Amino acid sequence: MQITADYGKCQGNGLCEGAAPSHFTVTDDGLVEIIKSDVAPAELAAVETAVSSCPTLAIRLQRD
Amino acid sequence: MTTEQPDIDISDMVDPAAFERGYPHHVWTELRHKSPVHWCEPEGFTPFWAVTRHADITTVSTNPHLFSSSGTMAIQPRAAQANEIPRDLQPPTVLNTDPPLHREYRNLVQPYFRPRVLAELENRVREITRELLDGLTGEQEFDFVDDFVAWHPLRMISQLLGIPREDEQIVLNMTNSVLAVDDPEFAADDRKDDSPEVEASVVSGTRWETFAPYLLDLIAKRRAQPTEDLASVIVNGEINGEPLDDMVAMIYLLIIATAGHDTTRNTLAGGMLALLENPDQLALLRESPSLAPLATKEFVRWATPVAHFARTATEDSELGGRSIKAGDVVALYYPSGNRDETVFDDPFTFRIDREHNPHLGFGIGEHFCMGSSLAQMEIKVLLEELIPRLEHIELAGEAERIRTTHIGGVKHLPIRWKLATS
Repeated sequence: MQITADYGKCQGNGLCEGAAPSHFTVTDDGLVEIIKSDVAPAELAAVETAVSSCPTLAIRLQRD
Repeated sequence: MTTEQPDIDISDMVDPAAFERGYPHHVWTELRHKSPVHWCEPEGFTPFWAVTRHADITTVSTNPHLFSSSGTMAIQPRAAQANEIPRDLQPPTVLNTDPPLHREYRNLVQPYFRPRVLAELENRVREITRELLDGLTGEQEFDFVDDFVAWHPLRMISQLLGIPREDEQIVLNMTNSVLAVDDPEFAADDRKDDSPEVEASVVSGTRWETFAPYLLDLIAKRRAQPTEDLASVIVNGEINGEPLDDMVAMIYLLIIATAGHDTTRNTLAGGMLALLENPDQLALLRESPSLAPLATKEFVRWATPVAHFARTATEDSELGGRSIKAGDVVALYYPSGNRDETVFDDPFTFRIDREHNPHLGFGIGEHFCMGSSLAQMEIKVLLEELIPRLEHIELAGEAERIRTTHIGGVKHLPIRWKLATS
């Protein structure tokens, strides 16, 4: 599984870092940074919440 | 693609008085089922499209290049539109701009509303909540809105902005007169004076002259001596490398101050009414306080304080099988999207443990509510503090709703309760 971000859509609302701080952070330029793109099974729920709560639909979880 | 549409009576959807009886869900449900993108030509209005399905609201909201926010913001009668300053003379705001300019405006304050930043403020929200509750302990009969929840988010946004407590009433009056222009209770004081020199309006018919001096004074003070508050960030901010002029700064402050509390107030009032009408849900929340975050989402879905926003099509496109023409106005009815049967199980049932709840109460896409995380934290903390202390609660009269088709909800909620000291 891989996380990808569309920086054209990202607005830096930061809901992703609120839901899954282990994988996402919003940098000083106001855009998401994916800290870790691999998702362990135990982390899946938090990452899924982060993806589904993105208000600009900017992040995706691609399943292998 | 169809050009025919069923004949549906949409009059309640554009009638502020109908909203006093509750949101016109009967109209929206019929539209969702029979004509989800519906051409509306009510008398006295510029015709517009009503968009009522979750999927179509999402499509419009996430395609700002096709559906611009720079046109009319809300559906209102032509007579009311005539009172507005022409769009091209209105100052740019975070509400009426499109990308890329919108990002510039948004980025001024967006960083301060991120969940990770707000987490540091949770204790302050808790203190405000406890202080307000401590003033209402024992057996009390009062208006849950005027005497309690009106002050809760107001105090927090005022603190963030750097507005002192003694000036909170000014902010409250400002909000009510800006957002409830159709409701005589809120607009009356402002409209008694019909002198021609005060007829200009920036935000739908409001006489902002009454509070402009206050905001201009705040701008001058924070420019002379910046502090750590959000007002200082805004008035000393830059857009594309240029400082904000007074008018733009003033409207920005106005938007953050008003949008920063009134919708949360209306959501808390609507959610509390739903708890009173569904005692099993109140009991469930009492048994399982950890449901507060899910209950918060359900409060927002259920109350959906923003009844609609409008967009203007920039080019011809297709939406829900209908042909939208460049220049057409499109109204997004969020409460309807939040009752969409294809998205929510039993959408007309209030369930505080609703797991799958992708509601549109904060909008979606480019103009997603900047304060969503603050609002959710405020509601969650209020539930966590209130529910364990609540020994009894009942309605003490009829709930009253705001007369408006735009930012709506419960404005008075008379209740009796018994609240433990702490």
